[in-house]
Amino acid sequence: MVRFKSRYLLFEVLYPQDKQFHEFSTIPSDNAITSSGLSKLLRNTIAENFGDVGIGKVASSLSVKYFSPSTSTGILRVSRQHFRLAWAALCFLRELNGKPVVIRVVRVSGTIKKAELAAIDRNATEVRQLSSLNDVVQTV
Amino acid sequence: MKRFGQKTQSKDTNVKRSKFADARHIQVESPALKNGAVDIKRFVESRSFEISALQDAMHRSKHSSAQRAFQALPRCLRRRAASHNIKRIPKALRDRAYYEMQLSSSATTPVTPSKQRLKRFIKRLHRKLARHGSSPKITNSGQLQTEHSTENSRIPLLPAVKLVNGKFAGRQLRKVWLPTHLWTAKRAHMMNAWGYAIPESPTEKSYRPTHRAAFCLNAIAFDMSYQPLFAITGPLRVLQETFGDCFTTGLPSAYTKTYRSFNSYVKNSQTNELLCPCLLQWHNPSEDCKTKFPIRNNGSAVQLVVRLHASAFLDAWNHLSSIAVVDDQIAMHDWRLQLASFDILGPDANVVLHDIFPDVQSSEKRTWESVSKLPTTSLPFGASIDFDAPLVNHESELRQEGNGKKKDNKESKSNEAPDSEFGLLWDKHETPSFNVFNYVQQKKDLPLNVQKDLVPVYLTHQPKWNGVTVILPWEAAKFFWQKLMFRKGVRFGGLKNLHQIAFEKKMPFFPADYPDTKSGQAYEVQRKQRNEEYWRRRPPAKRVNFENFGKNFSEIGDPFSCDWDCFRDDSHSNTIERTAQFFKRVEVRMVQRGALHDRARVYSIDHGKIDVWKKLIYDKKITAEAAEYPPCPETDALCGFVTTANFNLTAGRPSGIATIKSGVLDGESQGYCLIRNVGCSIPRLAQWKILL
Repeated sequence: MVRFKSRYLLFEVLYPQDKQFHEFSTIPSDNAITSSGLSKLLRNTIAENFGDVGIGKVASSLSVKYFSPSTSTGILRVSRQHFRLAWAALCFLRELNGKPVVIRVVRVSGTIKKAELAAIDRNATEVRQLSSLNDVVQTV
Repeated sequence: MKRFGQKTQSKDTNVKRSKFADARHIQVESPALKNGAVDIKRFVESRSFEISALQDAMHRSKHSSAQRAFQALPRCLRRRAASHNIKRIPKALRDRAYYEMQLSSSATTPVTPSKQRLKRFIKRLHRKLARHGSSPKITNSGQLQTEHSTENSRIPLLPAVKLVNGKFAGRQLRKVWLPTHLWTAKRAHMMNAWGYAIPESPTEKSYRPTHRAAFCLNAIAFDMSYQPLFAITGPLRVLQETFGDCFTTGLPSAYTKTYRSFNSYVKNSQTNELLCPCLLQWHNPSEDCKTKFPIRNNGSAVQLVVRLHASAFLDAWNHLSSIAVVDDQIAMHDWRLQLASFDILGPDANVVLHDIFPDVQSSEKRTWESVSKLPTTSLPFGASIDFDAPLVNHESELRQEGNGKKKDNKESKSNEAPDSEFGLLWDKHETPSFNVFNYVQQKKDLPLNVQKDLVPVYLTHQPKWNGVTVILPWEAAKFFWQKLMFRKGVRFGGLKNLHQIAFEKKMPFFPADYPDTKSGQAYEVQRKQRNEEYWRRRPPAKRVNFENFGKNFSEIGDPFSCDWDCFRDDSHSNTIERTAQFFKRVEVRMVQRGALHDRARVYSIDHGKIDVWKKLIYDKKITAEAAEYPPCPETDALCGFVTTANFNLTAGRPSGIATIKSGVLDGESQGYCLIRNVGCSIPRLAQWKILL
C-alpha cells in the first residue's frame, strides 16, 4: 500500500521596497493577509502560470497550514511529487495587497514538526541576537 | 434506539472533528496587539509568541492521538496481551487505566481448574513413578548413583529429584524445578541441563541491558538454586588436613576465623584434575545441631559449606565422600533441595537488598544498617552476614511500621555516629555461624511458615562478580524472588547472560572455558550438537560449506565445536589430561581489524614472521584483499581454540578467552598469534595474554 507523503515548505514574505529592520529582512505584513487569503492567491497564481494542468496536479494537496502576519512566516503543505511546482508558484507571487513581495522558501521538510522546529530555531536566534544588540544599542 | 444511535454518532464525529482541528491548529497572534511603527519590542514579542504557539501546537498534536495506559510503558514492563488487571500496572498509570477500563467496560473472570483434572494428574504421577525406576543414573528408589554412603547417614544417599505434590508433579519427575520456575518460565527460554530446568535467557532482547545492569546502573538477579549446596562436618583440624588438597587454594586458616566467604576450585586430590569452581564458607553449627551429628567427637565439629556447579556435583561428591567415608569424625550433608541461592550482580545490588530487608532481626542489625547505602564494590571483601527477616508483609503492619519507622529514623540518625558500627562484624575473629544452615538441619523439628515467621537469610559479597549471593530456605525463595523482581531497577538473567557477564569481565566461565575438565568436555559435546543442529536446519544455499570456502579452504577439525581431538597424541590419549597438562587459558584480542567468534582457531607464529606481520598491519595497514597478505599457516601451527568470544561491550572491542598450547607461551605473559574464525579463510593478527 503506497503511503501518501507530503512536503512542508517553511516560507517567509519579504518586502524589498520597505525599510529593513536592523539586519533582519522579515517585517510584519498587513493584518488583512490570512492563511486562507494566501491560499486563494496561490491557487490563482498556479492557474495563471501553470494552467489547468498545474491546478489539477496540486489543488487537492495544497494548503496553507499556518501564516502569521506579524512575523510574515508561514508553512505550506503540498504533496511530495509536486512541491517544486508549488515552490515555483510561490516565486511567481509578486504582489500582495498592492505591495511588491518576494516569497522565500527557507526550509523543505517531510514532517510539519521539523518545519515548526526550524521556525522556532530561526526566531530564537533572531531574538537572541536582538537581545544582545539591545545591550549595546538603544531603540530604533 | 436507532435514533439515539444516530444522534450520538453525529455528536461523536463532531467532537472528533473539532478535537482534530484543535490539535492541528497553530495559533496566530491576534492583530489587536499591534500598533503602527516597527520597534524592537514588538519584533521580539511577535517572534516569541510565534515560538510558543508552534511549541504548543507540536505538543497538542502529539497528545491528541489516543495512547492507552499500557502503551506508555517501557518494554520490560509491558505485557504481551493487554491485561485488564489494573494491579499489574505501575501506580502512576493506574488512574488512567482505571478510567479507560470504565470506558471500555470489559471484564474477565479467573478460571478455576476442576478437581477431577487434579485427580487424573495424581494417577498419572503414580504410573510414571512405577515406570521410571529403570534409568541407569537413578537407582530403583529414586536416588542418584553414589559410590560411598554409610548406613547411619553420616554420608547420605542423594535423592535425584524432590517429589512434590500438586498440579505440576508429573513434570518434575525427571528434572528439578527451581523455586522460581513458575515465574521464570513465563519470561524466559528454559533449557534442561544437569537435571534442572534452568532459564537460558529472557525472552526479550537482553544483550545490552544485561551489560548495563551488571556494569553501569541497576542490578541483575540470577536464580542459582541449580548449584548444589552441601556441607562437610568434622573437627576443624581434621577437615583442614584431609580436605586441604581437594581445593586448589587449600583451606587457609584465615577464613576459618572470620565472617567471610571465599572462592576456590575443587580438584581431585589424587589425579590433580580440576573439577569445578566453588564458593566456600565456614560455619559453626548451634549446639542442638551438633548433638545430632552421627560422628564421634561431635562437640568440636564445624562445617564447611560448599556451593559448586551442577555439572560436576556427582564427581565432586563421590571424591569427597571417598575421603570422608574412611574417617568417622567426618560427616556430609546434602542441602541441594533444601536451600535456594540467588546471585544479584551489579552496582546497585547492595542497595536493592537493603530495600527488600529494611527491618531485620539479628544481633548484627547495626552492621547491616551501616552498609545500607554502599554500592556493591565498596562492600568488604567476601563479607558474609546473616539475619532473620520477614518476607511477607501484611498491609496493616506496613502502615504502622511506616509511621513508626519515620520517627525511629530521625532519632537514630541523630544518635548514631556514622561508621561507628561499620565492619565490626567482619573484624571479629571467631568461627562464624549462620542461622540458615542451622535451620536447614533442624527443619524437621521446626517447620517454617513463611507467611508468618521470620526467615533466616544469608548474604555474602562476591568480589569477582561484583555482586551479592543470597541463600535462603527453598520454600521462602519464591517470595524473595517476587519481592526482588518487583523492584524498579532489577532485571533477571539466564545462563547466557551469566556467561556474557563473565566474558565481559574477562573471567573464564565454567564450564564453557574449561576444556581441561570433564564438564568442559561435556559442554563441547553439547556445543557441537547445538551448532550442528542449527547448521543442518538452514537450506544448503544459505549455509557455509565447510569443505570448501574462501580461497579453496577446508575447515580443520570439526567446525561445530572446539575439536580437541586435533591434538591427539599417542602418548596422552585422555583428552582431559592432555588439555590440563599442555594447555593454558589466555585472554585474546584482535590487534587491528577483525571480529572474534566462538571456536575460532588459534595459530602460533614463528618469531621471525611476527615482525613481518606487525609491519604489514601497523605500518602498511593493508587489508585482507591485498595480494601481500600472507596466507593461512599450515595445520601444524594450530595451537588452540577460542572458547568464548564476542564483541566486548565493556572493553569496546572484540575479545575472547582461548586455551592454547603452553609451548607457545614460552614463559612470557603476552605475545602474538594468528586467529582464524570458523568458516573464514583469512587469519588475523591477535594478541594473547595470560589470565591471572
